[in-house]
Amino acid sequence: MMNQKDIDRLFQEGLRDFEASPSPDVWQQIEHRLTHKKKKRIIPFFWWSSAAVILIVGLLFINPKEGNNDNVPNITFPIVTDSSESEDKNENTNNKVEVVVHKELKKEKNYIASSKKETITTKKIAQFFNQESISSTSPKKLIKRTIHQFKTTEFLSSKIIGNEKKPLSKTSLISFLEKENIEKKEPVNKKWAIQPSLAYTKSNSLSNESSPVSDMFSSNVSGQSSVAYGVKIKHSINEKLAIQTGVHSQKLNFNTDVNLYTNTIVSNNLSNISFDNDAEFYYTGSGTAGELVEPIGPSGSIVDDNASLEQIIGYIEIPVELSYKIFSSKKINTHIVGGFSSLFLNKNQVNLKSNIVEESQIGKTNNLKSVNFSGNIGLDVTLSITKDWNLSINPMLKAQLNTFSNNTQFTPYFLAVYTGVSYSF
Amino acid sequence: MYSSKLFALCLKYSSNKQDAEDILQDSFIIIFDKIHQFRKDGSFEGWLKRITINTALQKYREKSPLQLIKSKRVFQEEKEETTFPYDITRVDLDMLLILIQQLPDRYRLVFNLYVLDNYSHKEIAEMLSISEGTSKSNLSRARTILKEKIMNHQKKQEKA
Repeated sequence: MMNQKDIDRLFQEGLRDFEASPSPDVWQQIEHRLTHKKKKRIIPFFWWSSAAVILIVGLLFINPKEGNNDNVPNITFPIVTDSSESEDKNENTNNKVEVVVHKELKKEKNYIASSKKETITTKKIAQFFNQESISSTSPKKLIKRTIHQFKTTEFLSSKIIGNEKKPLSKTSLISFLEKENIEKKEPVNKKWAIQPSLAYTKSNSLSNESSPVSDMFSSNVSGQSSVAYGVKIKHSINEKLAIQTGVHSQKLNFNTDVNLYTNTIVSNNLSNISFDNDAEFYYTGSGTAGELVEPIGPSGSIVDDNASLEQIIGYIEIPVELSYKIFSSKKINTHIVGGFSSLFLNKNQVNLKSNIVEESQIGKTNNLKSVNFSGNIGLDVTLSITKDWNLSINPMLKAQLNTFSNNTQFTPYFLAVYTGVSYSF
Repeated sequence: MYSSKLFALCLKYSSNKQDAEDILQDSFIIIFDKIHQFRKDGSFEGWLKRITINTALQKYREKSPLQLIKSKRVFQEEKEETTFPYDITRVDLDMLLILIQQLPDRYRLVFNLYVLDNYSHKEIAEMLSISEGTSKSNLSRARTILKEKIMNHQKKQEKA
């Protein structure tokens, strides 16, 4: 008794090398459909449509359907490779068509590249089979030769892929083909994206030697973390490159450790800080660990040696950056981002943080430039949530170029991780 | 020769030569159309086959399912008990093809996809918009029908 494996094997082995040929008029019909299809799908350029009409009329003129074989050259497809004979016969009678084709081809050097829609054009068919000269070949002959070649030769798939033309998102009758492994490139018709973003930021400085509060200070300066928010707008130039801009808030935040001294004499000994009202303290740097610091001015008692002056420097940031895609997969894309930002000062606060006084604003930094610039570099990782929505995680380093007008030692920079959800349109 | 292999594929998926030729034509048009969507690193033959198979499935999807029921009834009438041993070598290629083509559409498609083209039931279910269970039972029915017909054929040959 046969079991199911036997049945399977019987058919598999029996039909494994099965090959067959269809009736010859199948090729004719294919050719017919290709030329007709070409006519239907011509892009709406006026001269292009008229070219197609002339072409097809020319073809019909040469090949009347009455089947009178005496006057009409043989157009059936031989399966063996001696079709050159019949092609030569066609040469003379196809003159009219050839001339027409010549004219049209001359008009447009590269109508493949300029046409927005996919069309089965003569040139494309020629490219399909690496034909060099098409100007002397009628499209009809070319289609015939093409199909003939298709039947008798092996393709090298690498020859076929040569052009960088983007495939189109056409609606196909057969919806499966969209699911196939045939590369479905992301449609780049979604060129814009808008993304509100929130960032965790950390201020820092390239040199911790000097302090922003005073040129003469030797003190511990630490950068603090903060939050930034804003909106980013991104425009895709091509598949890999995008340009982006936006508006963000940005805050630099530095704490300088100070020792507080009381003194009856009101003094302002920090050259870069302007105090709001007469302060009753004066400040010295806390120095490096273990070092004894001599107070400046008349001696007094240390009131607090754990105090710090907090400088908050806020900007409105307008970045202009380029984003280049380096890795790409179905859901996750990684870009490298670089650019510059213009920074407009909008917040300038100096706060005193101390155990003995309530934290309060006591003044502002006076050597800040109101317009500043930063160079930015970073990475942008986007996860695709749906077709239009993406989640973005974007760590960036932004180095400021022009923060202070006189203090060149202290160079702040800014590490941030921007996150946001973007909408493409 | 790609065209011969593809036409053979069309014949296996169709119930007659005319349908197979239609499918071949439709597939060619699509292939010409989509040629530059083809990825360099895939198998070209595999890509051609996939397009052809999808074209075939599309053609039979549009047909009315009533046809399936009708053929089913016919099958039940032909059922015969037999214990004659079969001989693999005596079933020739033409016969195999005819047997497949005689299957009701759905059974033929499932049989081809699973046995001859090695798709999984999960994939078949997706392609034909049926459940995996339906795919399995269709396959099993297809095998039963084919088995019966082969044994009948053998029996007739024995007698001859």
